[in-house]
Amino acid sequence: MAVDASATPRAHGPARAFVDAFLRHKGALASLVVVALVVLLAIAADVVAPHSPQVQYRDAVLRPPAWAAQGSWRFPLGTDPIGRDILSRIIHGARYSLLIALSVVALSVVIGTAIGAIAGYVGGTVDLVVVRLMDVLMALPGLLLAIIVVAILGPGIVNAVIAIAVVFLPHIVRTARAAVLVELSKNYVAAARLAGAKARFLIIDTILPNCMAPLLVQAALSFSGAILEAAALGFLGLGAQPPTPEWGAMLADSREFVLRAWWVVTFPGLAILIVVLALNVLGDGLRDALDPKLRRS
Amino acid sequence: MLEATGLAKTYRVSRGPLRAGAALRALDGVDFTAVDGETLAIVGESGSGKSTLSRLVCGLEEPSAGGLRMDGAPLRADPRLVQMVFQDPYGSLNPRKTALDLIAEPLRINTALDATARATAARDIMRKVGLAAEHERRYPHMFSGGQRQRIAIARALVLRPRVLIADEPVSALDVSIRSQVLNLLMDLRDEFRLCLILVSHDLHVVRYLAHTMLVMYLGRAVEQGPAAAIFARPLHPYTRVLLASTPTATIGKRPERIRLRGEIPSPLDPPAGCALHVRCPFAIDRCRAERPLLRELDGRTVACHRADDPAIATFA
Amino acid sequence: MALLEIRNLTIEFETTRGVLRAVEGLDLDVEPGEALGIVGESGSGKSVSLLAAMGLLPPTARVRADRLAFDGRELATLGARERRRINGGAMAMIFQEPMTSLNPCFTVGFQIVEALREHDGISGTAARSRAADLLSTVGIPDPAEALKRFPHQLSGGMNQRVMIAMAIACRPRLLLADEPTTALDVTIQAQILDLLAELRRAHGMALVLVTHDIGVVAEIAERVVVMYAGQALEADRVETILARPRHPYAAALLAALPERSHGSARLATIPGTVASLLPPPRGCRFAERCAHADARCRDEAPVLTRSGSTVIRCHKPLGARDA
Repeated sequence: MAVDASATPRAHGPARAFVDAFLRHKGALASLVVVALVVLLAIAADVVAPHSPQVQYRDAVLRPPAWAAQGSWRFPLGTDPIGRDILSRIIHGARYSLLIALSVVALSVVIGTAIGAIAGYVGGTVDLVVVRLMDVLMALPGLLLAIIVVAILGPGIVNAVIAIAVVFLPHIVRTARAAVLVELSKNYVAAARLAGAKARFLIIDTILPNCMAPLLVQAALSFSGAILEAAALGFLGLGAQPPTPEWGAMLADSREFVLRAWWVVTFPGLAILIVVLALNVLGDGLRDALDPKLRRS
Repeated sequence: MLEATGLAKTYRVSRGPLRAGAALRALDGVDFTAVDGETLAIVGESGSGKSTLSRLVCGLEEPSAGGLRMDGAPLRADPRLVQMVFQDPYGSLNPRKTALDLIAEPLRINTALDATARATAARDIMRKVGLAAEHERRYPHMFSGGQRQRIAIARALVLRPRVLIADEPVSALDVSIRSQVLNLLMDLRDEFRLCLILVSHDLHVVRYLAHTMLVMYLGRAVEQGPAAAIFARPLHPYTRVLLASTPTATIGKRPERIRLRGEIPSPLDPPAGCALHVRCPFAIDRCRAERPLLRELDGRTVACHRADDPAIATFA
Repeated sequence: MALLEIRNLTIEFETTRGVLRAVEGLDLDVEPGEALGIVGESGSGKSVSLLAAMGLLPPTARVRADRLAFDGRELATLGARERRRINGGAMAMIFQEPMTSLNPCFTVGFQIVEALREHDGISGTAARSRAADLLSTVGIPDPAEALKRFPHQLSGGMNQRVMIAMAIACRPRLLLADEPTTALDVTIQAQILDLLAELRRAHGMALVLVTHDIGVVAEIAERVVVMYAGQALEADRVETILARPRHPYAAALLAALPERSHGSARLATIPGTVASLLPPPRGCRFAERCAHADARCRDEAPVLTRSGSTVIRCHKPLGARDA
């Protein structure tokens, strides 16, 4: 029997192909570096931060940043209204922001994918009910929905995580459902069915691994959204509670001093901006690398 | 031996929230017999119902009427008995699995073999279809179309089914690769004594491979029987048109020139009487009024009122 | 003078893995009223060549030719407006997938009238009436109603007829057809091929038909070019190639057809698959699959040689040693 020994030159699996494509996106690479840096800072916060985020220096209240008049390098970014070092608080705050975002994404993706996949697979009334439910959730403005959930559950970081997860859930459900519907009609699913696969095997083993691309992109973009939502809730006093150095809460603490001491809101705000921007560009890079249609050849 | 009796499939098509659903008769009562070690060809164009028929036989869908028997016993969807190879080599393989995993998957689902035993069985069938050890860890996108079809064939045969349905197995492949895959199918049919059911619109392939054939139009069987007899002397006008429309790569050997009028009607609204009568060049009043039944004629069965009418016959 | 003259056409694409030469050194002549078939498999460059003749390739393609002339005029030197006047006018093209080649957002009538307006300058009732005539010429029943339909409301065969109607609307002298019937059922294919033959007869239109189906070429073409991996390997009158192919690839392709394997237990095959063009093989591109290839075939690329109506690119053409 003639053995057909040839194959296309690309001798890499899907994972390697993805890495290659991702590395070509310069913006995404830069963002990856930024995000990695932030993560490192968050992990090593205790070591890197010059001061403890909680200690109040009564003699150094509202000091400006080091380069301004009356500033000193003891407090590089200045101090807040009760004398805490802003730089240290920002570095520790990275932990909270990242942890909150991670929890939100993990929760919403796991639950959302399950709901979306089942709805897409089973179809019929189940699908109809799920879709309508998600439509209702999406009809409410995100922040409003989060506030409602927190109002029901009570303020605090854990409840803030749940609230934001609820806000993001419908989007994940939609993405998962759409991806599953697209794959369902493909012949390799019919072939698996023909091989005797039942529903559970089909969804988990056959279909979902091929739906990863849009879900991963959604997750990456949700990450940055979660940080923003957490900051918003923190700012409203519904998320992290004082004295937690969460970036949004830091903004809330110092609201009244904006005009007198610009640095108390600017630096936490900048931190949010930089991280969210980096995550968004990273998400774009992921999408470009994972979605062959958008890939530049 | 696989026998089908009265297979039919009707779908309900929604016509909006306010109207009752319409009945789409994709398949309207088809019988056939497929013998071990032989090839039954199912021939038809789009809308003929041949794809629906193959889905019913392999169990992907349930028939609305009729049934299947294997060696006399009723047959329901069983991956260990009936398997199928799909037309497109690109979409029928899971892009995230290696060739070895894909081929071993039916074993994983249907048997209690451990991983090593599965791999051995998968390797064994891979050799038979002409794939080498270096192919085992590769992903579908790294293979050519012909190789992917080999993977699909290997996967279909790893459970050693009795029946293999090949749905247009080579239509999507380059011409120079087709004969490789067709030879492979013939060899495997002989080696495993398969009932090979070949669904194809390419009459040259059918003529070469098939022992028996079934010509379908709009969900009905119009002519069926030994392929040699039908090709030598096609009786049904539709079969004649199919043969006349198939281009041949030989100058001078022109089959009769006979064409159908117009387009295939919608299966939602099939013509009364004989399904072909609106397009048939030989239609008479009786064709409009009365649906022709399959009858034995000249060594095969044909569903046409004028099949034995010398006025419309061409060659002897 | 040939209606379409192509000399030494080379088309290159930039890819992430290097420069891909999709077409190399293609020579093509189409006489007025002639039917030329281009046969090849995937990767042969047959479709890309047609697109280059029409100027429809994306800017990422590098098209070079010693001569690319229509009706004596060098196409490469024409400005965009002049080119647009020829495209759809004297030179028209129809494509493989009728469902996707027509704009789904506009009615069939709108699209035909658009072609008429652009090239013939007629519009309004005159244009609609001419459009209805065209639909009737291509065999669409009830043309007045059909004008109001959208492409998705028509079948594949109907859409292909609409596309042909659009293409012939301005009485082209040359029609390029890229696998026009591949996506259609065989009985509809026969109808479309009949239609094309009839249009040729009625208007003296030249036709270039690209296909992978040798049978189609046998039905409709007078001359045939066989392409493989971007090169023309053999060109001749269709009767000659079908009866006595000189190039081993053409011979193997014909031998592999099921209709030529009657009586034998196995179909003849062509071992292996098309060689990668990144980078292209040093010698003959078919050498690794050729039963007759020797060291010279693998090292030295053969050039085109002409003798009479035969054009062949091979070091060892079949029948060369015939008595």
